[in-house]
Amino acid sequence: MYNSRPYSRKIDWPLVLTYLLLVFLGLLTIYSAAYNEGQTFKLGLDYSYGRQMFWIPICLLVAFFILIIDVAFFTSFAFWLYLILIAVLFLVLGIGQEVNGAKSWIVLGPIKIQPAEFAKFTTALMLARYISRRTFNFKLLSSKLIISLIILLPVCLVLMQNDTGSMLAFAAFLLVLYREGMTPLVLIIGFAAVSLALVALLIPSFLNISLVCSMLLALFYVFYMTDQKENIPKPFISAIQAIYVLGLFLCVLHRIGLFDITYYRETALVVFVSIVLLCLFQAFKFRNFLKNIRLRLILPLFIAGLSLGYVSSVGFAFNNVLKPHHKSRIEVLIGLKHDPSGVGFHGIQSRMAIGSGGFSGKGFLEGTRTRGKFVPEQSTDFIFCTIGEEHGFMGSLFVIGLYLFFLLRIISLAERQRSVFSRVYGYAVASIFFIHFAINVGMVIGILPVIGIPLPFFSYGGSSLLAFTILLFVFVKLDSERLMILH
Amino acid sequence: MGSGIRKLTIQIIMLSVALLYLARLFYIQVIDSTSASEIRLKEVEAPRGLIKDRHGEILVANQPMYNLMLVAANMESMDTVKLAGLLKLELDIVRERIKKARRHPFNPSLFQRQIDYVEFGRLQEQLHLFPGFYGEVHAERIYPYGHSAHVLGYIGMVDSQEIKTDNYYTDQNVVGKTGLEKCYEKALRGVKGSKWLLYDVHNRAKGSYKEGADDVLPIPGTNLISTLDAKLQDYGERLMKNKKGSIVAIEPKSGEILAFVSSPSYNPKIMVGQSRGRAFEALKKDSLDPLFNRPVMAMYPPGSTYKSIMSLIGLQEGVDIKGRFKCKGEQRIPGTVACHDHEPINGVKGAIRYSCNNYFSSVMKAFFDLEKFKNAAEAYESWYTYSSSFGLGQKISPEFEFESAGNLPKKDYYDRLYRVGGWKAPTIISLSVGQGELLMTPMQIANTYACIANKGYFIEPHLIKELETFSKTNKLRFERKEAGISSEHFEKVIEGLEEVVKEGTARGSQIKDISMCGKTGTAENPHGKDHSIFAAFAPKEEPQIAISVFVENSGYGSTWAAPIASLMIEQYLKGSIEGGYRESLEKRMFEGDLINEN
Repeated sequence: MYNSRPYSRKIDWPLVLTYLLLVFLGLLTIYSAAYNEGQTFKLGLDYSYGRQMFWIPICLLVAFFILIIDVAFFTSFAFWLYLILIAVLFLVLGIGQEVNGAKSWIVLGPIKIQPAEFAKFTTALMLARYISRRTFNFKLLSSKLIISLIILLPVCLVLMQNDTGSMLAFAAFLLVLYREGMTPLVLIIGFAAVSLALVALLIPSFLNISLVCSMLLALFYVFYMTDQKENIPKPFISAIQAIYVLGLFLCVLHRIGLFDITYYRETALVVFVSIVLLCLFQAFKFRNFLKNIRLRLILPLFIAGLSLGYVSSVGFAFNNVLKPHHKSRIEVLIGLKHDPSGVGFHGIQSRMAIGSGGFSGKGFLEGTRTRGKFVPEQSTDFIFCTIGEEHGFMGSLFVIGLYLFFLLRIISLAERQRSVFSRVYGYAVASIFFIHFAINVGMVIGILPVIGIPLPFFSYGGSSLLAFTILLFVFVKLDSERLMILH
Repeated sequence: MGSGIRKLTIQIIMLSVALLYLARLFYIQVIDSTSASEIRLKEVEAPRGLIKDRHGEILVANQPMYNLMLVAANMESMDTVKLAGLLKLELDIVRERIKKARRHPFNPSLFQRQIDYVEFGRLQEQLHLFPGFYGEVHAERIYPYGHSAHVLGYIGMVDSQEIKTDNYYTDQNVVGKTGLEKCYEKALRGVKGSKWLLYDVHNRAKGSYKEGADDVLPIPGTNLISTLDAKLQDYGERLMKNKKGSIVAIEPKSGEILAFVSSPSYNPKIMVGQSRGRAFEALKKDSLDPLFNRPVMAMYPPGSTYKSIMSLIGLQEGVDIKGRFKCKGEQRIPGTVACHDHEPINGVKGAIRYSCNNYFSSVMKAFFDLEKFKNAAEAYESWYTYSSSFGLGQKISPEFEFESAGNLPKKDYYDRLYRVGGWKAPTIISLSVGQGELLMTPMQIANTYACIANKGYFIEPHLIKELETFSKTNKLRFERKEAGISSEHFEKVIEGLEEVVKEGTARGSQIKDISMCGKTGTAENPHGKDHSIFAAFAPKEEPQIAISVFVENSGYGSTWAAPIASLMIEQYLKGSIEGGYRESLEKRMFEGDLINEN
């Protein structure tokens, strides 16, 4: 009976219409960002909006094809698609072209493609495929290790391409894993580690760096060494809370001048090592995790040694591994540097452009900041500036509201899937769009450091629009067939 | 934890991020108005004040000049060789500057400074071939007369030290570097205005904001009304052409400097724009030292011109010199300078007329022998006080930065040299005839004669008398200083000075219908031919001009210095030179070349 309905009725039209609206608004915004006073509307590939208009029909065509081919294609070929993209990412390392410091583009004649955009899609498919296997069990270390492998392989390749933005987008899968049974502690500790890391960079002392490292260690421990649910010992959680509070407290004391962290290098080392050992011993004792007494002695020592190495590596990473422009962006964001015409230039200009929009904006094509071509990358990563400037707070509210609706719609559709594959994939789609949205808008409004990451459907760029379209429409297809798919 | 809660958690995470961002957007778009400033404040230079002479003739004005700017990000492929040719620069320099501009590609960088409007007009025609380049206009100084370089000084870009000490400046500003430009900088510069401008990413102004409603207009700099007489200054500079030396002419009753000539000089226009650097180097290397501001920086022994002061000190203290002086080149007082042959004299008048060294040495000796002084040191201190009351040994003008004080040695100097109590009148006796350690600047000598003309006081010599803004004129006040001599004692000295011109050493420099009072002098020069000095004022009744003329390496005061001073006075009082003899004298002075003949 369900089957007898016309196919078009099975499609979730609210989601598709939201997509079409976002793409249309995106095109208008790109047009506005590229618009110059006195210029008449011209079709042609000379302009960014012209090229975008050329890409949109292609995307719609691809979307249509996705809707008519057999859904089994995606479930069966998930692994191969994943492998192909991994191979392409390897290829980019060799023959890729460098744009803005990231060697992540493949140039095919007039078309430039960023394979990392498509890698998110194939990784989402692969993850869904693996988690939907009957043998998958989040309690098993082997399952966790395979999941880690699936995610970390493309992450490492993207990192080697020096494409921080795309790499961070893969963090989206943490939300998927959480939905599928990963302990929430990972998200909580992850958040704590990131916030402490920002503090540690603000006051780059040994103690702070140690605290951040212990947070990260705790994160790994929680992820790999525990099964889900509430089986994690209370003392362990208390220890982590203690580390977090202690770290923030010492920083406050340092700030108001009662305590100079930088002098307490050795003390810090002792505090750190003892906290780590204490919490590990406590954990083992309470959980009776390891029966083997020898392993029980060796493991803490091993972890202590590992952590010491890690401690020195955070400072080392900040000073040596991070590229100078990342370093300065972080430094500018957390207020170590004030440099309006230099590194902070993007952030300040975009903030000012948005701020100049006021409550109701200046009107379509009236953005003077946009006109002045003030914000770099205005039609790509900083496209939200144009919205904020020309449509003001009302425009921002509308776009953010639309996005929120879009994300929540995908989640509610994902929840109604019968198959694990479709659900996991649905969550992956929502999470990927969410993390792009969060990082991109957060960067444009000055909450996060400047990281090159597009705002889906708005940022100019054919290959990213195509990748996001494929990502979404595979889910639309899966959803439309939800009654047919069992796994 | 059930999957329902997990779904809810994820939804809450998304919702809270969206709400956090909306709150932030509400803050920056609606609450925080400062982030709404899409416009930038650009400072507007105030037109710098003009400098006019005492009759309102313009000495310094402004003209537009251009800086060629480059925004490297805007550059396209271009003909670097052609650009180098247009700018008359070496190709390497052009490439070097482009490289430098590329370091901050979005910021405009100064490519070539100070191109005058004629040259820029030519450049402008070709500028479209060089995207990224554009001109920025600002004002530079022009000098209609091309004289008084030492007085006026010049302006230049502020240096980091000047920015540090005065927060008015930014690195785009100009500041007076020397002379009046520096001394009256605060008045001349005016008050910067500000302008809200819409900018594009290349820092190019796209127009004004709110049609300039919030702009602040600059307040133009104050005009300086100088005390100089442009014509007299010009005449003085022409007279001193090809001679080393100086002329300082002062209006006695006001202390206003009428002419201030330092020779050799240069045309101030070479210190404007691009040529300044090269011109400055050339002037610095010139062995004749044209940058040296002789009237206030050069120090000479005043020689016989000091004798007027010595006479006055003697008269004030009632020193009584008995007997007639009929010298035949002998030395009457030990330690002094030998006198020359001259007619017998009796009293101050004759002593000045014949410039009798023995007489003034005797005055000094008698002064030291006065009963009221317990010892030589005490007498010396009294002499020191009298001399310094004429402005000796001190800076007398508030306007010159590097004015020299001359040298009027203190008592301690001799105490150190000869131990306390180990020196007496003969030790310092040559001071009485303006020699020994005594050194004066030409301006101090002119000022001394202004003081004599005033019979006992002088006003600090100065170059600016009024500050003129568009709405009002402020008269500047300068201090009146009393010499420690009663006015009745001046009569005899002034009569002596008159005789010097009528019948004495300067009789060749008489002016028809004007009674000039003056004194020749010879500043001994251990390095070569003596310097010729003449100091004078005129007319005798109600003097209007006091003058000192120094001509270096020209021998006696009567040959060069006195004629030049008399011509200056005649020019100033009559407006022209009259009579065949005077005209030929003028011609001889104009043509006299004391620099190239040696």
